[in-house]
Amino acid sequence: MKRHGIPVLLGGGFIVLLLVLWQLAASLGLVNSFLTSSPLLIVQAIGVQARSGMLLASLGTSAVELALGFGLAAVAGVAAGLLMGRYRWVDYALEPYVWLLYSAPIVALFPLLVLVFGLGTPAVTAIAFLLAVVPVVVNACQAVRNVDPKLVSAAVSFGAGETSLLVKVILPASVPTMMAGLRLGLGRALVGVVIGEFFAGDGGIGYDISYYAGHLGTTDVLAAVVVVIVAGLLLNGAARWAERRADSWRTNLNQ
Amino acid sequence: MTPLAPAVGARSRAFTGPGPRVWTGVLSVLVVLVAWQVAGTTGLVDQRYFGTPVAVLRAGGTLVSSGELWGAAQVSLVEFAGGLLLAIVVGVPLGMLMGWRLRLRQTLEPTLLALYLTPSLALLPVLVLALGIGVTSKLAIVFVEAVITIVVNTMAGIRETDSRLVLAARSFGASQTAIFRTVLLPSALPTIVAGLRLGAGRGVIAVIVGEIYAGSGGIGQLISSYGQSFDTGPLLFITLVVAVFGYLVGLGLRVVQSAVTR
Repeated sequence: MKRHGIPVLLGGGFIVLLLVLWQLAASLGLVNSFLTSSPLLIVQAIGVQARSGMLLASLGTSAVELALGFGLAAVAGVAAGLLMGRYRWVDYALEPYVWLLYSAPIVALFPLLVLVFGLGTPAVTAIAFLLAVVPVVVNACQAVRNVDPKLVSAAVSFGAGETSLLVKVILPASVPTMMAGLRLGLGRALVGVVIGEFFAGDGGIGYDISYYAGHLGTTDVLAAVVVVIVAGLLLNGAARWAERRADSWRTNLNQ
Repeated sequence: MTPLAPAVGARSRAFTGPGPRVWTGVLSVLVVLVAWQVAGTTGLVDQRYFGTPVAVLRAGGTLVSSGELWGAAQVSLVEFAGGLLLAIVVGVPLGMLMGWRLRLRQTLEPTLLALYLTPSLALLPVLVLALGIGVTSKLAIVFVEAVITIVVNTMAGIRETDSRLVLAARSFGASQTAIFRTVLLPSALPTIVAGLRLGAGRGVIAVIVGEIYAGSGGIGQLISSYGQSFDTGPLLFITLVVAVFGYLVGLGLRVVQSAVTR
């Protein structure tokens, strides 16, 4: 108990100190609160947005886009990564596209994505997918490479075919590294949803941010940003929890 | 699959030219390019919207020869380099101090981690509101995107230093400064450079997104104006140039990283 007391006090204290200084600067008129807003104003704005039902509607839109974009990236990424890890030539053939996706500013393509998929949820989902899929593929591929070759040869000796080898041995054995990729992918999918909504959205929390910014509503912008930050932290926490759960059935055979 | 495999592959490549990896990759890209070109010229997909590789190249030639690309690139490069430099100057010392001093780390880590785990690009509209649509807001977004990664990695690098080395140095009477310079810094350097690489990658994307969002020049604004008129050729060419630039920056820092790793 005592060991954890000081870090929490220092870490929490620093955040509280920042908030108090910000609030004081705004309340005492040291800064123009129209431009800099203040913690109290932001809390009020979140309350207003929540009561009007707008916040919930926006969160709903963004959640659907996130779930679709990330879900597709998880399925496609794990499948591609499995094949790339198992078959060298698949890896060689797809490698150029993986680094292209990784280095290219995907958001730049939003006009084309809007044209192909349609404004709003479809285009934003596509952006989230393209951002999220890279770490999923890379980690899944690495995970397959790292599977203990003894496991594979044991399964082959017992007559496992290629399909059952992939599904029953390689996939389960790769779960821990894959989960790390999925967690990174989830973070990037959230970035994709928010940024995608800036440019190609017709609703959602990122759309709100850019809408309020267009109307110079600093307080409302920051309120929506706070919601995004909280959502990011909650998602990361959930992903970490899932990562631990996914690995909990594993027993250490060497002991 | 065995640990020996890469070494063997590297040797055979040295003697016989590019190996299967390069050939398969090149072939795969060629197949897609040819299919795209054929689909475009036969009208299978709408050329106006999807372009063709030839059209993209032609648009690229015009962009380069007219000097339009280089003019815009200069603006973006200044914003990128300035923001990154600022992030290094602030991030590396801060990360070192946080790795070294327990109380400082405990104070700043929750805030840093919150920023690290959330999409900090969401702050872009806030920065534009506060700093305007000029160079300053782009410098700021590159700084924010890069500095968080740099601090986190620098801190990790210092903390991963083998504590027995520090202890040994201390037993032999090394001063704090000497320990820092001769033990902590060399051991942390690879991780620090890895942080710079990740930060630079995020910075490239940040400057482009920032310019698309509220540009007063630069590559992002070029993208934005060609995108709004659905002029696919230049749009795809510029996107490709940015991708290659980001790749090369990453590659360069990877080389530095392996040079400082012993």
